Amino acid sequence: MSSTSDAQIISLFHARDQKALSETQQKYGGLCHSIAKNILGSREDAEECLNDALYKLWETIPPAKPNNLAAYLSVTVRNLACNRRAAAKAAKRGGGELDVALSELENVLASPEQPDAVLDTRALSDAMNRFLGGLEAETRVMFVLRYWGDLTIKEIAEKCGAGQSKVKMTLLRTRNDLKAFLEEEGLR
Amino acid sequence: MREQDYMKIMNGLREDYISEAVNWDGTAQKNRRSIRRLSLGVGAIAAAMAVVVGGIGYGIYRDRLTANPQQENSEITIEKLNILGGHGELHGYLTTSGDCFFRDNTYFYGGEAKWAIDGSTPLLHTEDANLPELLTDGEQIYTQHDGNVYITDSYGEETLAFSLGQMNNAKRIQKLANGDYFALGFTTVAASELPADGVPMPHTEGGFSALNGVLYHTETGESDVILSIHDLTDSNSSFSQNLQNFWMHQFGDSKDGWYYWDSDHDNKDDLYHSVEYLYFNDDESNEDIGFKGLDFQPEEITGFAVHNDTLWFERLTKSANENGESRTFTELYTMQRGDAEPVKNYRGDYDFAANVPENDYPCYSYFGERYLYGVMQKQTDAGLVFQVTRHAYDAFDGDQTVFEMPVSELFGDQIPNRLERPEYMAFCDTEDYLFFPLPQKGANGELIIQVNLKNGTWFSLGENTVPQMQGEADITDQTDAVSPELLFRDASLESGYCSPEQFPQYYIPAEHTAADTDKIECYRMLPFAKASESALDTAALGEHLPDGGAWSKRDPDAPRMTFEDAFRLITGGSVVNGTEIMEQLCKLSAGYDAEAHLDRPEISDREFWLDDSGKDFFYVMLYSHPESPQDYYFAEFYYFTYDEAQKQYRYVFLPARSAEQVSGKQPDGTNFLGGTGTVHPYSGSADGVLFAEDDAYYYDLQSGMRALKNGENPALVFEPLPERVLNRYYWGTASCRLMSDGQFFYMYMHDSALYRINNDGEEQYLMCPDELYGKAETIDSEQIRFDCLHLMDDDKLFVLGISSVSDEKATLYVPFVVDLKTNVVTVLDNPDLPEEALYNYWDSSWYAGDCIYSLTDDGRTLEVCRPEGSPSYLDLANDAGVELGNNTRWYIDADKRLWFEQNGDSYFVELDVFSDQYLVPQKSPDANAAEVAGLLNGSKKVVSMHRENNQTSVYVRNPDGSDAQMMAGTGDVNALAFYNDNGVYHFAVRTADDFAEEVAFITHDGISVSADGVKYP
Repeated sequence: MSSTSDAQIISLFHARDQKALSETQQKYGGLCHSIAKNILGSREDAEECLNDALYKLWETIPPAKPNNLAAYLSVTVRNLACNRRAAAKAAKRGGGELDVALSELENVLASPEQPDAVLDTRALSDAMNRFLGGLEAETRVMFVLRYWGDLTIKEIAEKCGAGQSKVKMTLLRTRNDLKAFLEEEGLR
Repeated sequence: MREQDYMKIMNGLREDYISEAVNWDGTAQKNRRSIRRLSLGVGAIAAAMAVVVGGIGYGIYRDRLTANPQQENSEITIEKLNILGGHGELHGYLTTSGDCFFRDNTYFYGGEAKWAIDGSTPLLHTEDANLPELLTDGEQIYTQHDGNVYITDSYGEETLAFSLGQMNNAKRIQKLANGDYFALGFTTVAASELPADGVPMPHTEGGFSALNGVLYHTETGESDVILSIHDLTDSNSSFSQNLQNFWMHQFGDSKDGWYYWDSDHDNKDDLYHSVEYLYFNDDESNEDIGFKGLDFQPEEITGFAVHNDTLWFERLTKSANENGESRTFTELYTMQRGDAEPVKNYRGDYDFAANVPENDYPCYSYFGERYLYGVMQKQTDAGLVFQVTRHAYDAFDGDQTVFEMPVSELFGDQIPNRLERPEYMAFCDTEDYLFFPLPQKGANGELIIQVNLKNGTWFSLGENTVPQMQGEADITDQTDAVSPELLFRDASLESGYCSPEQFPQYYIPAEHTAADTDKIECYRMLPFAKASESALDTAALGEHLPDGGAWSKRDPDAPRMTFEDAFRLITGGSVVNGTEIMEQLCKLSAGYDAEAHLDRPEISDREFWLDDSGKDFFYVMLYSHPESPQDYYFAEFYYFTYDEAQKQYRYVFLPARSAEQVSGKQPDGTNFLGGTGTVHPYSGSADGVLFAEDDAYYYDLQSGMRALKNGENPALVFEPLPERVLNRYYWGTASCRLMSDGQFFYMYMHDSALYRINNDGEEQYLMCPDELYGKAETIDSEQIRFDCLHLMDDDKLFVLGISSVSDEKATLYVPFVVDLKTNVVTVLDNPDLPEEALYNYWDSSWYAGDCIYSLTDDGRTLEVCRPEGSPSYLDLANDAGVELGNNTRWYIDADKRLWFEQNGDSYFVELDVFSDQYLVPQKSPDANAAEVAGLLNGSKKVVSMHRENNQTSVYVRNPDGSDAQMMAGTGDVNALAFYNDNGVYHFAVRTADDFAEEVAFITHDGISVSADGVKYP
């Protein structure tokens, strides 16, 4: 990982120094590539998506001075990947890790009897935020990396310095807790 | 479940959760204490040192770690965006023309533009950003919708202020001293509602718009229309002034003159009665107003303000000069209540009018809340300059020039023949910055000038160019104004209310109420003085102080230490050492402080009171050497204030070296030495040799000198470094040691931590001594200093720690490695070694690859330490009889070849220590009379000096033993330093004869050689 600090990288962007891109990629490219790859199901597409995200950073910084470069980049990558996936509408399920993650969570978020019912997505987001707020930090991180970042179990285990079995068990318990929480909230 | 629904749900997750996840570092979480220590900065370092001395210090540290668990994640939380889409709290400001501006941590916002406060962006348009329309009175921020005006916080949380009633849209809002609101705005009156006694003209079919000034009574919800001005289509109608405590409005034709609204008064009746007409062209004004009629025509008045019952106004008038030509003048007047005539105001240097007539360049006054501003073109010896001055209403000792620039430089070929009144000029003064639009676009598209009022630097803003900082910066005065309240809001600072566990000496038991405040039995200065003894009965106080404690009485005539002064000194001053900060505080407080020693002699406390109540003070906890109480290790700083509402003291911990405020980071784009480009340090052949160069200068940092490269060759002469640089790095004192590993400079703060200085002056924290404790048995409570830095690769720094102990014991050396990415410290130490066998030579440790090679004190054994596993040993003194004596210089190059001087014979041998295998040393062919000077960074070459017949030559020796001469024989060389920059070798050779010292800076790219000679003054 690059030893260059975020502040230094952002300074490079502001100085229009293209080294900013290589430093950003070196520092955060791995995680973001995983996010994109798991959404798009293709390493090549992920590569392009990451490049697009870096270009977007180049366009927006300056004037933007992101407080958290990693989050800024990863949100950008994810948005681009989601857009790309939707646009291609190849949405061939079974392609990426997103599908696996979705399949894990869909029975939690939606009633099995009405899997295709129109959901109040905003209410569900709000509820999920409240639910996440009550979790231990590590549990919350695993959950977000899995269902927001679409990382694989292995990738999460590496990032969290935990075993894969622990990640699986944590996610399973958290899904069950979330299901109960949503039922209490009247959202499923 | 549809995929798009899933995406939407996940897109709605909170940003801080996402940030937390993507920044999560499982490994780091396992070493949470280290992370906390880093995030807490040097304050934690100091506290951690208390582990060694024990007692209260550690308790505080532990409490600090546990008091606010969410602080652990403070580094990885995305900050919530404010209502304007930026970061940090919003603050509102009014310009002299009443326009609203806002700022947050990053930007100024106003109109449909914004720009970075630090000048890192050009003027940016925000009209497409769909930002909310905000108003401010300089204190609160307002939004308006649904017929109501709301007070909003920085993040859009609204509280109803008042209902607009008939007013459609408020243009100006001000909260008055009594809590009521006054608003100016337009009201549309339907034709059917027009009064029968006359219809103001012109009007539209649907009715007409009126400008109303309405007083809104917050207690009753009622409102009074103070002003109602119907004739608004007249082009002469305009807002004129809108100040914090003063509203006025110019409208219609001259017969209407001026209204004013003085809201200085608390009594609403006074307020109401003060709303009167003020006629300048006759004497019909109400005497209650106090400002009687003037002879001037209203159109001559270009602006006015009331400040402390004094009316200030500017008059624009014309008269003929001696040639009969019509000239324009501006005159500044003051008039106090009851004065029969206004007085032409020439106070101090604030004499615009006197400067104007001859050249017919009018100057204009702009009236702000605390200052009035002058703009003029002024003829000087240097030609015509565009000048802006600032003058406090209450200070008559002259005006302050805040900006000045040759007119030709600013406006280029478009030099205005004369400066027409820049009607749209306005000044926004935030106390730390002043910005204003130029009266016409500058030669390079400049539209706005922003001046840093703290240090005089400024930049111009255009739409397409990133501003360039101008002016001279004084780094010692960079601390932005900060209030105690802002301190407590700063999430990065540890703060809270006193508890018996944390600060028993300041904790006030809950059973005490406001009713018995005077009977509170809480104590200050530990159990030494009651808090209620605010009269400072020093005689009585003395009885409570144990031996060694003392109370110093303040000289009643001495100036009082202010919060700002103390805060700046602690967190942002030029003094960088905790104990010295404390000494400066003593001076600043004029001796008004208390000192007490606890039962442990190594800890003492001091209070510095800001007022006689004792409710507001700075607190310093000092730790000293157990055997030498006068030598302080370090100091912790806190600010305390009594919270009347909570009936308890609040405290905030002040890191004595706040990274933002104390960092040597340069504000003007220069490097940390004040030059330009990358600073290249030279590695020295002698202790303390610190040569460096950048694009602009050569530096001898040991002497605190620099020489401009493009000076008149060959007579480059060193000059002193800028004061701010000298002050920053404290040359010549034990408080700061500057070191280099050949690529970067490092700063070791005595009593504190090790920092790497990045090129722009940012100081990257690496580690502090306490991180060594517990990692090697040889390290005990003695203080650790650092020396001998070597960058092992791009992300590992080898450091030799030196433990200063009493004279009886040998100096203890502790080699360790700092991972520059993670700040993890690995001590390379062998607890099995007897203490005597450890390293006691300077330069007695070296690295190669992953290993550290250290010489034992007999000079015969080389210890090879690895990051993991036990060390191994090489016996040097076998068949070859290699003996590295005391002070012998030796190096191991990247090929693990050992280069050294043979004891007394000054020749090289090679020793292959690869895989710890000992080989017979070979004498280097040209090693006679050679002296090893060091390794050339990034190469496999060794620099040596050959001395023959009082002449010294410099060679670079290749791994195969061949060499190349870099410098022919010269005089007495007393320092040699060098660095390698991508195959271009740079040497600094200092020579001296009986008359002068000189440094030759030689550049050798393998083909050509160039040199500059620099003399010492």
